[in-house]
Amino acid sequence: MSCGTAAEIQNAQGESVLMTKKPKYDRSNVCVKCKENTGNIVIRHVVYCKSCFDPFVKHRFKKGLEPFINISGQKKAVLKPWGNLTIGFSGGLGSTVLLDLITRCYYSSEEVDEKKGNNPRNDGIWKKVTVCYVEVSEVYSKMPGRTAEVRQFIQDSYPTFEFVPVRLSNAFDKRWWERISGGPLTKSDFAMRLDPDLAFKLLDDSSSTPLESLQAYFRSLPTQTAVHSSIQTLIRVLLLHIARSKNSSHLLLGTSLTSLAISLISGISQGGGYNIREEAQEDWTPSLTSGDGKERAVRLVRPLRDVGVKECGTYAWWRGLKVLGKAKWPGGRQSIGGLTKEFILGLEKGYPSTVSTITRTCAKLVSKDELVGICSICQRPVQGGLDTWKSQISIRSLAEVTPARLAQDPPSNSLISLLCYSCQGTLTSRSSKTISTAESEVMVTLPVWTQAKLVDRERMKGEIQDFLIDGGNE
Amino acid sequence: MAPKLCALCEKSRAILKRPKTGQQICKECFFYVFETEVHNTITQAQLFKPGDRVAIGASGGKDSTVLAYVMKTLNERYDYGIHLYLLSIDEGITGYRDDSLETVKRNQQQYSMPLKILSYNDLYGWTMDAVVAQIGKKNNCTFCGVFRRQALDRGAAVLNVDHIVTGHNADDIAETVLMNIMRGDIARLGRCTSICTQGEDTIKRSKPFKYTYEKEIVMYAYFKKLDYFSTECIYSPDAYRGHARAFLKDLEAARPSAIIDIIHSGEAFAVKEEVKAAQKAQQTCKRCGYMSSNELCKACSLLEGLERGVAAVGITDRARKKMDAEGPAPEGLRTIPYFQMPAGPGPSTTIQIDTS
Repeated sequence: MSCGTAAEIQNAQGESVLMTKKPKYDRSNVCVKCKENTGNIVIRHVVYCKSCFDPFVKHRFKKGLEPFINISGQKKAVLKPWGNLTIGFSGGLGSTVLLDLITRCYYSSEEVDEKKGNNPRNDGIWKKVTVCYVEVSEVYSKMPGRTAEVRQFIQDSYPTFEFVPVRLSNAFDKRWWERISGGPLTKSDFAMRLDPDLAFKLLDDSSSTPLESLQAYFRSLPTQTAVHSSIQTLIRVLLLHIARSKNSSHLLLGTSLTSLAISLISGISQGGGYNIREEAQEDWTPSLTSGDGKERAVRLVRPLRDVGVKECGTYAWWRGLKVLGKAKWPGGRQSIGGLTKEFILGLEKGYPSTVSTITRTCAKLVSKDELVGICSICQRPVQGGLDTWKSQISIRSLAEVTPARLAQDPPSNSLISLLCYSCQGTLTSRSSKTISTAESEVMVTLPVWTQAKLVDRERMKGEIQDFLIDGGNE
Repeated sequence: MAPKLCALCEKSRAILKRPKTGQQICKECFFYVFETEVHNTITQAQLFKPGDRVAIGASGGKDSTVLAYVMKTLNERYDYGIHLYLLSIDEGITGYRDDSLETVKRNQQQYSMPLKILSYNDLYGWTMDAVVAQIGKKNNCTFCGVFRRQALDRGAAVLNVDHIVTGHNADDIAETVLMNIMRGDIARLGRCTSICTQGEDTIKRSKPFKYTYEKEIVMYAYFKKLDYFSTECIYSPDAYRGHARAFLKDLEAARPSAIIDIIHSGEAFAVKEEVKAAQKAQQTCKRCGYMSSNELCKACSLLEGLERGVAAVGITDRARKKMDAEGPAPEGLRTIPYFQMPAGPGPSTTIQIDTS
């Protein structure tokens, strides 16, 4: 016996016995823009037809990008970035749509103004475009690499753009670092112990390959949440360094409205509230000065932050775009990021305005406390007083109760003071099921940019050594 | 295998794993750190001064029962010099609140604290049973929440206290941060992580359990064998908040620090000044004198809807317009008595206390 489709389930008179489906639109099914055509898509209660949908997405995309192209922040008729463009490409829907929109809006003859003739923007706002793909398969032993596939896709679809593949293990590769940033590193490696103090030291023997260092680093992380957050952080910082090395003024990511809402809630759930603005957009200044002696910030923009995943999917479908698909990381459902994604996507079905409300609400927030530096791992601002706050809210040792202990600084060989709250949590916060502390005894090599920071500090300390009393414990 | 020793005293056998820190500790050390952390929260925020009259919002549930016990303990141990009262609100939910109030009455005897019970029926002329009978189970939490906030302030005015402490715990605050972001309630988001809130026209309120995990409150009540009532409200189908709560529990299971991390996030950001400037200024309700964002406060608006048979008036704009079209409120409409702040603390003030 067949279950039958809804249309087949009829009574003896041939009438459907099922409840009529609720219409997908609220009032009218006519396109809200042209007010003529029957709509083809409903976006948060608003109906659009296919021909109006395309300009709608392009408008949203440009609105999310163009005000941030001129670094001064002033609105100008001429868009004039100071450098090139780097696009982070994951193979996913968002970055595929982003590449297509960048090409259509700024590098094709499609955008012709009927009154003014050819749009000067068609020559390309940025002189050179680099597409960068970060290979993450090294973290998981059974995950196949996709660099060749992505390279082929970019070369076929966007032949004028330069393709730059990066491996996650480059984050532990000194030769790569010296080539990219020119920053000096010691021959030995700086490594840390993943205990509450995050003590670091210079290893006597550091013969590990970058891949071994990467795998040891991820093996030592205490939770799946930490693994996923660290992959995201390493990807972002690697992309920023690539952007800088390519003399790019802008790094664009294909984060959609839905993905942004997920990362905002996920970031907040991991203590990243202080960096909530950076989650949407950030200006990253490398710690090392560029060749001409000027510090130039790379601006990370997410131009699809007003375009939801549904709109991206529809756009890609109607445009016939080939989507390679983003690599799925194992263990996602046990991580805060994975749980947040599941929660937001589920909520979006019943409450379609939620994702937009989340991003709009977060856009109204600013960091409250004093900034004391830049996190040595994620390169985002660090707020002051973290140690005192932590000691006040939870007692971890009976000695901590004394006011003198509360006011004490962490030891000078601790990474704590160089990390933001979120990164501290990533490295030290354990799951409720973790009992063993054996892994925390292992020393793991630090990412190259963190090592560069420590080398910098050691050099500074060397310069002032003669004036420090008792070794200058901070 | 030798028993695991307490990570704090390193002498006694560890019998629990603290959800907040992951440390395995003994019972005595757990009591000590639990109480000391609440004391630290109180002293860091300078919540009380000697002579303060403080009402504990008591529902008979685990949070307020533990709060009453801990407040009494700390007041004696650290000599805060404050006068503690129990203040309960009877929403009029048969089979739920009447039972939980019995627990509060036992707590009154156990902790030797004066108790005042105020009912929605006395304050508003409506019990929640009657409200639900009129509006149904959907959205009834809106009525209850709005009425309770006012009721606590009115109860505090009756007790002539200058401070209300509530048993909101870290899980509640984390959940509220997430809820306010998801609902876009920027005004509440800006203040929901504050340990203490006080406006010109409101009584000071604070949350000494702000950094205390719900699980640890249950542990404390369990090991101290405290008498509390643990049943969910029979009218609580707030689906949206339910989603948020379930999500938070999932996050906590993935990484227990998530709760404190969300609170840390909530404390680290603030609402932009230009957004604050565009928000409605607070005013006084022209009908009942309670603080309000509009001419009529939310409680008066909801009550008028109930009285005039348009219960959805506080929920939807359409219902509000429908009622406005029917003309102004009729004469003789039952309204909430005018609210007045307590005249000021003083031992000479006489109040009627329930002793039953």
